[in-house]
Amino acid sequence: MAARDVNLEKIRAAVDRCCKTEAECNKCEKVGCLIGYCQLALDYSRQKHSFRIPGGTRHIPRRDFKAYYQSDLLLALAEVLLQCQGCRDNHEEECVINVTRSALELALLGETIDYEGSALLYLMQVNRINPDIGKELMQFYEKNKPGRIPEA
Amino acid sequence: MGDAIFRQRSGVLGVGIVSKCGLLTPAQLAGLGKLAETTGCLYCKMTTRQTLIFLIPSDRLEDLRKGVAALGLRIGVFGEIVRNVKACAGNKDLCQRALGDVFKLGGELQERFMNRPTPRDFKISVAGCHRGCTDPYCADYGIVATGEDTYKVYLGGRGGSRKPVHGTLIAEEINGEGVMTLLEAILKTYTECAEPKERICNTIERVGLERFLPSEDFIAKYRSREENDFLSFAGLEG
Repeated sequence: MAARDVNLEKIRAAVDRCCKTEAECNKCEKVGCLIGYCQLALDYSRQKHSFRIPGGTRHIPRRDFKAYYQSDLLLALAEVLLQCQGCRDNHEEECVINVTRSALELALLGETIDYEGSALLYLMQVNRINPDIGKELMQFYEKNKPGRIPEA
Repeated sequence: MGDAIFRQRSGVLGVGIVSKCGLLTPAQLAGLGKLAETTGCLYCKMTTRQTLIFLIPSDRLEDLRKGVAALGLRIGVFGEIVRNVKACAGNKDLCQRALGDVFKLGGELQERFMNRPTPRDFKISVAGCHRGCTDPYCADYGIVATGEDTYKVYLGGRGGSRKPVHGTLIAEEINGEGVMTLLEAILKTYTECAEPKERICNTIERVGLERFLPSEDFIAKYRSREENDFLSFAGLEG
């Protein structure tokens, strides 16, 4: 899990864009909010230099029913998927990338999907469950893939 | 049971040398090189259990024993006993993925349990993450680090066999002290329940896993503080 190429700052920036801010929420719930939870997990990981979030999946706030801006969630989830190291059989549920993905997925789809340690397999699963979101997520993923030449 | 010293078909002696989970200091490595030359060692072999075999003429055994002890190493053990502890390259110097320092716990386990009599050979394996490079899922007692001082314990695996067996997860989120105390209890139960020469996976199959499971109180007593670390950080604890 201590992968070399994970850019937590980039994920944090994408997650921050999803935050509705106190202007919309009145009061920041932090740990009771799916986005606040992602921020905490990412900050913990950066501060502790550990990619494992002990108990991270168990405590995801499943009762956060706020409506987030879908495009921001798609962008953040795509960023998380791009940072996934594709551990496949060695996938670890409490990996910070997985914890963040799970929380964003809940905000976006309202349900959780078993992750099989592969971004591409996951994109196919989302597409099966919700073809519209699946298609958009794939577009965000492809658009932000490193090495892609930006459109003129 | 006894020392890992075997007379080979060619007539030479094969002597197993054990370090702390396969770690050698430069001085030990250089010392072993000299020792190999002075004892007439034909060649050395690194084994799958992270020991080093010296092939020497039988009349040089005592010289080798003294030399090994002087280097702070040990002659290996063999038979119906707890074997030397196998550990992966699990610390911050050797592995990008290691979640803890396996050599500290592995060394302590080896120091305390190696050479202890058991009904059948008993193998311990420690891994620094869930990838399990040292096959902890196939060890009699397999330990997988999930944090700096947080471990999962698997019991009753069997590797190196025509009928490999995966161990069963019997404890998680416990600290190193819990891993040691749990092993003490398991060896006691194993000795009480096993038939002569019965491997622990077979004992478990015959008497049931329940006899070996730690109680809730035990787990609570040795639950790693680290497991609450994120909860504290997130303000979820208390």
